[in-house]
Formats: sequence, C-alpha cells, structure tokens
Amino acid sequence: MDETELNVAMDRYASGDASVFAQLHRALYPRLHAYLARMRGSAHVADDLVQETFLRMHRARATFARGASVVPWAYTIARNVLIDYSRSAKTRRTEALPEGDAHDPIDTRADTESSAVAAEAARTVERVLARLPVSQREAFVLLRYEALSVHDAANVLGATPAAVKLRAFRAYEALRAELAPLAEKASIEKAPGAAKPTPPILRRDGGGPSRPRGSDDDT
Amino acid sequence: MTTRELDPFADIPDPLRSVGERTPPEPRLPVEPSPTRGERVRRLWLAVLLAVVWLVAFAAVLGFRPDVARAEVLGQLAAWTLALPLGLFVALRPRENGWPPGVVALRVALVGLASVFVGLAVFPPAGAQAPLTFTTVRGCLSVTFLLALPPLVVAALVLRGSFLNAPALRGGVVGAVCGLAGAAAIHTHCAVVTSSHVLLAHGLPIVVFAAVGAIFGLLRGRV
Repeated sequence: MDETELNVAMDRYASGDASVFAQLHRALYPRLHAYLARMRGSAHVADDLVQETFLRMHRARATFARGASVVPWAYTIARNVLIDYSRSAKTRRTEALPEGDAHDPIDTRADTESSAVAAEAARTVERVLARLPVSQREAFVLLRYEALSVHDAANVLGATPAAVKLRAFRAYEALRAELAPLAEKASIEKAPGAAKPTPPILRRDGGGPSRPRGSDDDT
Repeated sequence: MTTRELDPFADIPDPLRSVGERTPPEPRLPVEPSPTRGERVRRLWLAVLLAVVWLVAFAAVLGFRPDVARAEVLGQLAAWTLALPLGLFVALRPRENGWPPGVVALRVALVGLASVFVGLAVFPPAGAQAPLTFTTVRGCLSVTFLLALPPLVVAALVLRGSFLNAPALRGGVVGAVCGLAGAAAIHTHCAVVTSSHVLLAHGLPIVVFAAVGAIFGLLRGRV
C-alpha cells in the first residue's frame, strides 16, 4: 500500500469508514513498532506502546485533516505516546537489568551471518543512541531508520528542518566517534547471493538506509 | 534519504533491524466510539454557538452601557470581537499540508490577542472614570470570569485529546480567546474607561484563562 493509498484510507477512516482500519493497521504497525522499539530500546515495551498509538489514532481520527499525510501524523501520535510513557516511567518503579540484557536480543540470524564486529557495532549503536539527548535520538532515528523526509521529521518533532538536520548530525557524529575503533578491525564482506546482507560499519560504498517495511535491498 | 547531505547516515548500522520485520497482530478495531470528522466539525460549531449565545444573553441581562453605540466603543468591541475567530483560526485550523499551525504562529496569536486588548484599553475613549480600588474592580472582575468560564469549559470538553503538537501553547491561545470574549462582553456593560480598570478588571481573565488553557492543553489536550 503506497502512501497515497494510505492517505486515502485514513481520510475514509476519519470520515467514519471503519472497514479500512485493518489496512491502516497492517501498513503502519511494523513502522510504528520499529520506531517505538528503537526509541525505547525494547520490543516488548514497543508492543504496548504501539497498541496505545493505534487507540489514540482511533480517538483522534476526526482531527486528521484533509490533504494531510498519515505517516508523519501517525509518527507524531507515537511520539506523544512515548512522551507520556517516559513521564510516567519516572514515577514507575523499575529494576535495572544486568548489563547486556537490558534490551531485546538482536536478530540471531544476523549474528550467524555477520561477524562479531558487526554485532558489536550494532550493540554500540544501541548503547550510544540510548545515551544521546532525546532530541538528537529522535531526529536521527526518524531520518536514518524510519526514512522520513527532513520536512516530515520536522513536522513530527515540531521543529524547523534546519534544527532537525543539526540534531541528527550531532547524533551521527557521536555514533561515528564510537564506531571508529570498530571500523579499524572490521572485515565485513557482502556474501554474493546472501538473503540478508551484512550491515556495513562506516562504509561509504552503499550502506543503504532502512526503507519502509518490505524492502530487502539494504546493504 | 531525500537529501544527499544525509547520505553519510547510511554508514550507521541498524541495531534493531529485525524488530521491524515483526508480523503485526490481527488488527482489532477499538470498540470505544470516536467522533468522525463531520461530527467533530459540528461539535466545534455548536460549542462556538453556545459560547456566543451565553455571552450575548448574559450581557443583555446585565444591560448595555449607555454609550455602547458610540463609534469609539463600537470600534473597541469590533476589534476585540474580530480577534476571537482569528485566534481560534490560528490555534485550530490546519494549514494546507494538513498540519496544525506551528509554534511561531501560536506565539504570534497569543501576543496579538494580548496586544489588541491592551492597545485599545490603554488609549480609551472619553467616558466614565473610576479609581482603581478593590470595590471598583471586584464586580467587573468576577462577572468577567463568570462570562468567560462556560466557553472555556465547553472548549475543554470539545478539544480534549485533539492537539497534535504544542498542546500547551494551543491550549493557551484557546484560553486567551475565551478570556477576551469575556472581556469584550463585560465591556458592553461597564462604561468605565479608566485604563487601569479595563486592564485589570476586564483584562486579567485573559491572562488567567490563557494560563488555565495552557495547563489543560498540557495535561489533556495532546492526541
């Protein structure tokens, strides 16, 4: 379902057509879940947050303006859910997990196919992202992993496009600095015909961005 | 990426890449009812109508000032009345791309609403003067709060959970509009033109209701 069809479906949903909810859910769930998981560092928390996001989208469907784009609208609502969750998390009792178990495990299929350096790089990225200021993390995640345009990301974050780019670049510099030592010992090669190519580390010859769900040609 | 300057971002691997491939659960439509776009528009117009009827009826019951038909007084009332839909327009109406007005527009609206009231109150027409005392202020102040409160309550009921972003600012603008509506309504009754009286007894609710609106927006206004 391309974005134009999604926008039409949301428009119909806002006007009262409940039959399109399933289409919207199927199209948006993976993206919103991935975004929430990256921001919170936990797929289990993301499970709950994405359900809350869809509930709020349902409650606020009447506010979806004609001519609007549903993807950044949905991301904004997901971000609002994150904000409320973070605020309530400060008063919620939590127990710190042992180092290394705090987040869901990285895809083990990837671990068998890529080197230990690539896995360490992924964990480093996860750790650095968690340490970044929220504003920088948000901007970087939306641009790098969620593949939003700068304009859409600016609308989601309520900032100017220039501010969003600046925040994202600061995050990128922090990540790059942490990954630089790993790049020295990286020896990752893309296996010909591999179903799941190995993610690059600081490689400039084609580390593609995450695409909307369903795309397998990231390298 | 849509801009080449962001191309370097592709170097950074995705640590949660597998998470995005999770199969979504079976979609279940939420059972709680939610208004459609058409229903929301009707509710908004109904809220505006109720507010106008309340203000006009209350002002009529209070009685109009003897000089209400004077050009200077009508000019003040007209300016303040025109500022009301403009403020709501800025706070609520989506732009062409479907997004609500941004933070800059909301701040301009807040400053504009305050400026139009203060600007006309500071340069009053000739008329009845009254010293600034508790006795001379309390009557108008309490009535102005009473005039502006129902519109604020109705706005809160209709707009809760509908602000996509900047909920505090957006709520503040709506609150200021309700306060200004009360100030304009009391001004149709109270003939005192002393700037201090108008600013405090008629204008203080604008500030208070803007603050109340901002708090409500922050707590209950966000989608």
